[in-house]
Amino acid sequence: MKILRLILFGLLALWGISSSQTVSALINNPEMFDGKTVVVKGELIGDIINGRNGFCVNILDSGKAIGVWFSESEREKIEVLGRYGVKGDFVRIKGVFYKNCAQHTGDMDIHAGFLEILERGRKKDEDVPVEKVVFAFSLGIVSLAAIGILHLLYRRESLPRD
Amino acid sequence: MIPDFSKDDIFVVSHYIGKILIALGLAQLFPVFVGLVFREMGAVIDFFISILACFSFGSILLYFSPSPKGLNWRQGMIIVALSWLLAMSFSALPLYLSGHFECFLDACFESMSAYATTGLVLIQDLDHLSHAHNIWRHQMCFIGGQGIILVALVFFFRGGDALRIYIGEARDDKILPNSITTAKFIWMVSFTYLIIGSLLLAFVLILHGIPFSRALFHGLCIFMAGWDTAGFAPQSLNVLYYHSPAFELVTVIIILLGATSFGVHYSVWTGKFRELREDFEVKILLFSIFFAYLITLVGFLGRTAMFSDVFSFFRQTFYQVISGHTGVGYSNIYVSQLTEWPDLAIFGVIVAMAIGGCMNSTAGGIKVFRIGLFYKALKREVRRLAYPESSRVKEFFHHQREIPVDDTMVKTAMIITVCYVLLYISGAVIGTFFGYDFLSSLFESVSAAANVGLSIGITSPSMSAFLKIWYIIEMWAGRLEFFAIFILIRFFVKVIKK
Repeated sequence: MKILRLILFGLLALWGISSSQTVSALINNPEMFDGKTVVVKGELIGDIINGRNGFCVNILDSGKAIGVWFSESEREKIEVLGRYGVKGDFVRIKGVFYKNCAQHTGDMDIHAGFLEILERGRKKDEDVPVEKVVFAFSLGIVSLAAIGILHLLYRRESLPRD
Repeated sequence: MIPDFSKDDIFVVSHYIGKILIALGLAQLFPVFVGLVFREMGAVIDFFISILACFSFGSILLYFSPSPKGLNWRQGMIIVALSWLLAMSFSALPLYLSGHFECFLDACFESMSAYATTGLVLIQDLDHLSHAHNIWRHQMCFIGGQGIILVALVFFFRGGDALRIYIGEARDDKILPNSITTAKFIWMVSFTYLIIGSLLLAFVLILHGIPFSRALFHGLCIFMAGWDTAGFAPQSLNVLYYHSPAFELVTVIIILLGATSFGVHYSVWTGKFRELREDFEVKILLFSIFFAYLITLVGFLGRTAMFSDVFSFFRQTFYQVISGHTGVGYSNIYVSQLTEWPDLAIFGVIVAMAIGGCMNSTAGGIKVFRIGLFYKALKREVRRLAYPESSRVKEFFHHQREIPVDDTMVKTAMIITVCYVLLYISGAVIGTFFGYDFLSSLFESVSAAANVGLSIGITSPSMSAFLKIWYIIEMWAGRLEFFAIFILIRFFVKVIKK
């Protein structure tokens, strides 16, 4: 019986670590998670913003973002931040969620105690659709023709008449 | 006898709209430059297509409508109203091509929101948008805040024509004797502040460890949208992205400058600092901010436990009120936090948004000038009743000079105020029809019509197309202050009848 309990406890503990909350759930139900330890997965985006006791990076998950504060020791783990043409490091963080963080003048944020890189970020190849280029080229010809006709018209108007 | 619309009207309108479209194409060269700097070739092609579309369409209009001899008031108003719609459509093109919008209507919503300096957004995955498209979103705010026509005014219009166009864009304060020199002054002030403000914002971000090029980019974007009280930001978290009260403080200074009339700016620039203390509009603005904040404070009586301390309470509540009042729409809290506020506190923000900033500033809303004018008119009437019948009662207000309150001025202000109130309510009723509660619908409607941009959660890509179109109309009508649009509607009715 004891062994069964231990296995059950171990499974629950594993589930607790592996299951994570969405950023959207945290933002929309701040009361429920306030002051509790949460696990969040998402893409690190934008910039590293330095603060007094550590730094902050925003984490994006399903279109919603939230600030996560890290201690200095985690800085070197972060390599790629998401922006145009770049997919940022996809991470799992475990930390305490604050609805109104007293340390950061009332911001809703997470103080991370653990950071794991699930997938290293990378630069994406910029693919420009061929149709777009063809369309731009065709429009360029039309535009040049229109401007050319206009120019001729103005020239004809400005010429002295006999 | 009211003159009827003729074929000439169509030619004159087409001619000037052609010029404005070419100016719009030229304006898009800046995002092309940014795209080249950041090596975003996909974005550069999007803008290339849009520029060519502007040039082609503009040239065709110019081809079919030769130079007119002059421009009358009616034509000026039609040009203004129509050019805003066309600018919205053509400016939406590169946004739509970016692939960050669900449909073209969403892109149009975004561009009208930028031009009208509203700040409501429908863009998706903003955090991965190119620098070129992002700078264009903010540049549109900068152009729209000063006035789309004001851009073209400096280059393409003659003196007499310029005035007719200038007033159509809801500006009736000629700071200098000539409209073109006034337009040049407005641009000079805006560009000077643009340099100082962007560098100041960038400096704060550099102190937070953000690299120079990124800090400058963010500083430039936030300044353009802040000074023009638009409230766009380059990241989806808006001002909350920076997690910096110092940064927010700088934005407060910028938005207050943006919500101040260009007349007051002119006085300060010419060394008349006394105007800051004496101008009736500045006084009303400060009083009105205090009054709206007081309502919000009363709303929070007994509910302050939802904040961690006094500083965070002040930081969040005051920022929403000042952001709403000046029409900027920047937010340092999530929508879910705003919806938790007590109804009276939300009402305080609605009042702030509805009133708006100064006339001839970049702010929207009814404007504090009109509120002050009603107060003066009321005071005059009370004194008139209190004094003997034979006495002549006059009331003055100080706005660069002593100006007597006259009935025509009050009547015009009253008509515009009634139009605003009707627009606010209409949006609220339509929102309620689509299943939102009345207070939320009123909040969103006032935010759109007063060109504020704070959202209580209604504005999203999934909202109904009708509501999107209605908010576009609200933003457009609110920014142009109705008259130009009424004349455009009359013009279309006459054309259809013919």
